[in-house]
Amino acid sequence: MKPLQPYHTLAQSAGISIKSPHLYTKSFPLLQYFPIYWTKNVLDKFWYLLLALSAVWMLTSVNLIPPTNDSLSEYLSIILLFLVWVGGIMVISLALIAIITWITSTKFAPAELAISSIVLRPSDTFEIHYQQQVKHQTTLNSLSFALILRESITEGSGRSMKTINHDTVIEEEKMPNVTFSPDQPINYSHTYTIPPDATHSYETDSNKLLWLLQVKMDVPNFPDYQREYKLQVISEVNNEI
Amino acid sequence: MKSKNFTPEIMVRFKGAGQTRVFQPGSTIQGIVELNPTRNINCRAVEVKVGWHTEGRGTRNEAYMYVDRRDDITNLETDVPIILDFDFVLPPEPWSYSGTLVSIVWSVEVKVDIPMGRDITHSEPFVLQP
Repeated sequence: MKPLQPYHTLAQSAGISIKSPHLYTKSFPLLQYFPIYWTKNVLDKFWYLLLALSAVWMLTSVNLIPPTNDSLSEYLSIILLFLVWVGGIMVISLALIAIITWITSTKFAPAELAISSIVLRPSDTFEIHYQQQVKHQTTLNSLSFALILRESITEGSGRSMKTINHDTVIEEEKMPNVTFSPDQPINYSHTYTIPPDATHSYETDSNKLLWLLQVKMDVPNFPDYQREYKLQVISEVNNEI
Repeated sequence: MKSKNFTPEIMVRFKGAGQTRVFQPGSTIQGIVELNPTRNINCRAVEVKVGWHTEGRGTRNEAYMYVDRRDDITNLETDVPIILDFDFVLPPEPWSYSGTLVSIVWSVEVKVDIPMGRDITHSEPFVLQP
């Protein structure tokens, strides 16, 4: 087996883009270390709610103001107020992201994953070492590491476009009630094998078969942490076995 | 396998694939397409394609690497069978896959191109797997 190397080094040399899982992380790189899915869901709902309220407010305002000789300037002022309102919502959203980022950063330092290889064939074996420093003593409800094959499809277009995932867990280790401290950071080593009858990675805009190493932390009274590392399973047969 | 409810009856036979119809990536797929018209049909062409497509909820992806369009076949006569050979070296990927949301299906596609009408088509799946 090859020696362990930092994941991002191997990913870069293999041409695997380390994409942030959500738009928010592009604006706030720190967010990639934190509970993206929780953030995304909450903020999406928050946005929709506030935009709906804004629309209701604007319509109500239009009805409340009777047309006058100077109605054009009044309508323009309403539109301006609406834009200011939307701008305010954006500022609030960004502030929320910053707060969540900051809160989470008080618990965890960025993760470091070392891996023996990320370009693999069916039957190939690879080793990982995951390390993450915690800033205070933290007891997790659970910590899990999993090798998964994700089917991912995108349907619809525009605002109605949505992505649906279906994960097949190939191997998972879940550790319940684990405690970590600054002196005892998260340290996890494991050896995985890509099943011999596995399919290779496949990726187009609308259909994907992704091999992922998934790290999940269920943190009590706190947003959960989830991070995924993409692997590249190639369409070659391992004849060494 | 025979096509159902098609005129003409279209059959695809693979050479040396056995019942499982499994082909190795990089191997050669060979076979014949047999059209047995049950009535006279005027057509623009008969097309035989080998390739893959995705099935499932996502937008369809497809690629056909072997396309043999026979523009010289413009008339199918009753009870006069037409036999077309195909011979193609399969690429290394994508392998056939059957999943919950997405599947990758390899097939031999036969199309009788009917002018101003619905084309007659037939698809015969096979498996590309190491």
